[in-house]
Amino acid sequence: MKVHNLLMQDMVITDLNSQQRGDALKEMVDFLKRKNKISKGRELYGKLLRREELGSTAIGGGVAIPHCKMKGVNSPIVLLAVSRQGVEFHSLDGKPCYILFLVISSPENPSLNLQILAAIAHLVRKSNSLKKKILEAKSISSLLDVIRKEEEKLNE
Amino acid sequence: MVEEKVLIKNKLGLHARAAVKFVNLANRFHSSVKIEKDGNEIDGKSILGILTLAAVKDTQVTLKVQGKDEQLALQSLRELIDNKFQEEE
Repeated sequence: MKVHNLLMQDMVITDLNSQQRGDALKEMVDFLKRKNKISKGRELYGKLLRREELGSTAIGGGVAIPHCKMKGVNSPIVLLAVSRQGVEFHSLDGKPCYILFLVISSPENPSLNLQILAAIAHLVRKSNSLKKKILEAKSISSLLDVIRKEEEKLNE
Repeated sequence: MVEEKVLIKNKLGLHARAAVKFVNLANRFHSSVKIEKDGNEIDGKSILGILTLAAVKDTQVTLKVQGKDEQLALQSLRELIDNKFQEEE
């Protein structure tokens, strides 16, 4: 499984405004609601927040993977939000996050959820320059290109 | 070095929260901790590394621990996995 296959053109926020974790999650949920990707915005926001309270999903390197499971989500929803200023995400290393992958999956399929998180972890772990390249991308399509190319490199 | 095969028993597998618990516990020890699954070996003190394994329920992984507190580290980490990371199922 590859991130570039999971991430659709219309599922990218190139300039997230919020700089605090709760606000950032709200902004991403509102985006999904506006795009009609989800119906229960308030429920989703609550789930994401509760998950963060159990332990931050900021996994280091300026990347966070806020995620939760929602009934009725048949195919997983993956949203990428890029922050220029950085979001205070209560990360273990204390540093702000610039790249946020929001993942919503079905509770029926924990294995699929793990595979998506693994795809993101593979992408983030091996690429030192990913953050820089993503922040430099001028358009959504060039941003998705960056991710596709980085993932192709992983297979070499 | 000490090593042991362990079965992942919790319903959600080695998901993000479980990975954080594992890393936090591993970091309490001086020993290095590796996890191997299907020939892939990763640093057991790295959340990202653990997530790349995508180890679902009933996966077998091998814990490899090396250092002066390796026995205690291995025992503690194995117990965390056996206790399903304190998860209910």
